[in-house]
Amino acid sequence: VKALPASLTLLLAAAACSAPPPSLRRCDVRQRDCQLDVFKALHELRGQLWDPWTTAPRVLVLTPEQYRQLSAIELGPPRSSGSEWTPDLDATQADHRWFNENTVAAYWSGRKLVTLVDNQSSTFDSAEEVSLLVHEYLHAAQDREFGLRPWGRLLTTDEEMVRMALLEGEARLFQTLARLTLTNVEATAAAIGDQLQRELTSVRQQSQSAPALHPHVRRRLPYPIGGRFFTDAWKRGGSPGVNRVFVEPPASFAELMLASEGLPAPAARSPELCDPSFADGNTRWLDRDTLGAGLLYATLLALSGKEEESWEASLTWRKDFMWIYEHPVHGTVRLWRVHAPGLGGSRLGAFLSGRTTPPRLEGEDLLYWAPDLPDFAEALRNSQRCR
Amino acid sequence: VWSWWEQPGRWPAGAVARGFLVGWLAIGHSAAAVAEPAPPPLETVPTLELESGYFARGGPGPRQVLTNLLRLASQSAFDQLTYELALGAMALFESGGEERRSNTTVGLANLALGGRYHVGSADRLSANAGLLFMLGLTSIQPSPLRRAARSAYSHAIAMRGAWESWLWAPDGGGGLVFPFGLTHAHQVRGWRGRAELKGALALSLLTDPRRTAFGRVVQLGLGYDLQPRRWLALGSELRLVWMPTAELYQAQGSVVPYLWLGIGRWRVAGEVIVNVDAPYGWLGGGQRMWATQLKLGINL
Repeated sequence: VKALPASLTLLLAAAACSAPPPSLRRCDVRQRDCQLDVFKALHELRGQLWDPWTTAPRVLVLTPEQYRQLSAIELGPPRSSGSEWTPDLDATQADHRWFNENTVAAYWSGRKLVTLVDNQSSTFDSAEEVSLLVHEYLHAAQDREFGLRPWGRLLTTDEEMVRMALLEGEARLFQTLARLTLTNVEATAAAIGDQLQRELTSVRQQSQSAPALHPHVRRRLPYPIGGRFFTDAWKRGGSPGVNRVFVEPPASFAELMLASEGLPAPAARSPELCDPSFADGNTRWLDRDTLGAGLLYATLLALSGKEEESWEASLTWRKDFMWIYEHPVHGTVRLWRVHAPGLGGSRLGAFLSGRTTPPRLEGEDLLYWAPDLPDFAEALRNSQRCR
Repeated sequence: VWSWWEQPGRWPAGAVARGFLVGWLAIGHSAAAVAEPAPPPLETVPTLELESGYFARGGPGPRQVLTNLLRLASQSAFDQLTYELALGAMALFESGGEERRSNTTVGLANLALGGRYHVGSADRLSANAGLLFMLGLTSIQPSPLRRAARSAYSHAIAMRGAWESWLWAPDGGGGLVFPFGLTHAHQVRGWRGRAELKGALALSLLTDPRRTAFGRVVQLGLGYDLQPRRWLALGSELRLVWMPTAELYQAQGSVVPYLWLGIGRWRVAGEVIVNVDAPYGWLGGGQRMWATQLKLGINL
């Protein structure tokens, strides 16, 4: 009993002098100790407690060739979409090529593994590399929490871009937060937002000269767009605000693009579009997809070569459907109707209305059909909005 | 598990208070019909006990956590055998950012049901050992809600120094728990002294490879209390929980000073749980978690 006050005093003194919770530090990300420190620090950044039964995924450093081999095994075919404007490649090949040429790190859900690509110039203890590991470990956390497929069903291309923007956007937010912290810059929401805005501007500039425009837009744009969205959510609601985005996700990629401009989501619900009807009865339905505002931007940019105008015009997107059919004579038939009220009044409106070949602006909708034959144009025009 | 957001505003203090009151009123209601007999010894495990834990943290990510465990213990036809049941629920209130919009996550604890065999005398040396079956109620399918739920359960585990962590282990699953205890009562200058060693081995069953199970957990507690009066006990317990299947941290130590008050058949207890070392404690770069616990029990 007499020793109790002394013991308590000793305990309090020890607590007062104890080390604070782990914070990020620069370390060699190839070392397991460093990986575990980053993993723990990420919990702190996210305002979460360590879960005793979670494990930090292993980290492997691969050569670019080893990475190409792994990605060839692991990458499944993406949902086909929009690839008709990249005639040299189909969507799968384009995505694989994009991954091989642009990826510096990846998290592989099936293997619970993080890979970093050694590009010779890599310095593994830099702020860049540590924050890159934060990014990949955040994907591991997402995988643990909701399996990287939070909506558990086959998604349209637009929904897939939203999904990617959410997964990558959250990772980008904490990666940027980590990088600023490691470089002794105060990681405020404004500072993170500035960084991501610069990245968005850069991705848009690169779109003008990207060799494969659609993969570039599909794969690169979700990072800064999603990052900006999460930065705003984090600024407004902290960690609970970030979590809330996954529970009530944006309805479309257009919503994310509008948010990046500081514009609200469209208030009115868009009308449903009905499937086209063919008079001949020989055309077999294959697939239906929604490409979204992201690929409308890519399409308009590919057509006009005007980046700013294409971006502005794509913000008018409200709904689209692409129908894919098999025709006994003409092969694959693609019909695309984009409902975009306001597109006619945009700077590209006159250009799109005046075109003699698809896509063409008719009323509030942009219509595209391929092959360019009157029957298909007629079928698409018949796909009136459902009443 | 349920989760919802509320408009910006003050902390949901009303909800916290209601959480405490609902369970306590239930106990009070049960006790009202019972005639007042001679009070049992203070260390007697109450027939019905509500254990409410509370934690709050300010700073950039403010949060409050409330855990409630209802424990039922019943004597069998044989004096040496007791049955017990534990069921509980927790709530995590979080807010942050400029708007301070709060998020509430509520979930059940895993359920534990079993019995213990007691030998010896409560006045001198006694021992007990038993078996509990754990039924997983914390499991939640992969979904965005699972993130908030896992965070909430992590808090509940940390608030108790990972003690009885199987009750709050996320991803549920079944399990077996083998609890045991050894108590020695004696006199210290006219006061009653009591030394207690208690522990448990828990094993999770039917693990799903897509989920995390708690695997194996061993916990040991060494406590001592003094009873200067029949109705008052003051003591402390040192706890160590070993989680051999965990990767980052495998052990958690905590100190739990406590105070018991006996009022007739009622027992009111207050505890402060202070985690000592990492992952949840003050030393070694831990996350500095603590909690208070208030217990209200009655012997029916």
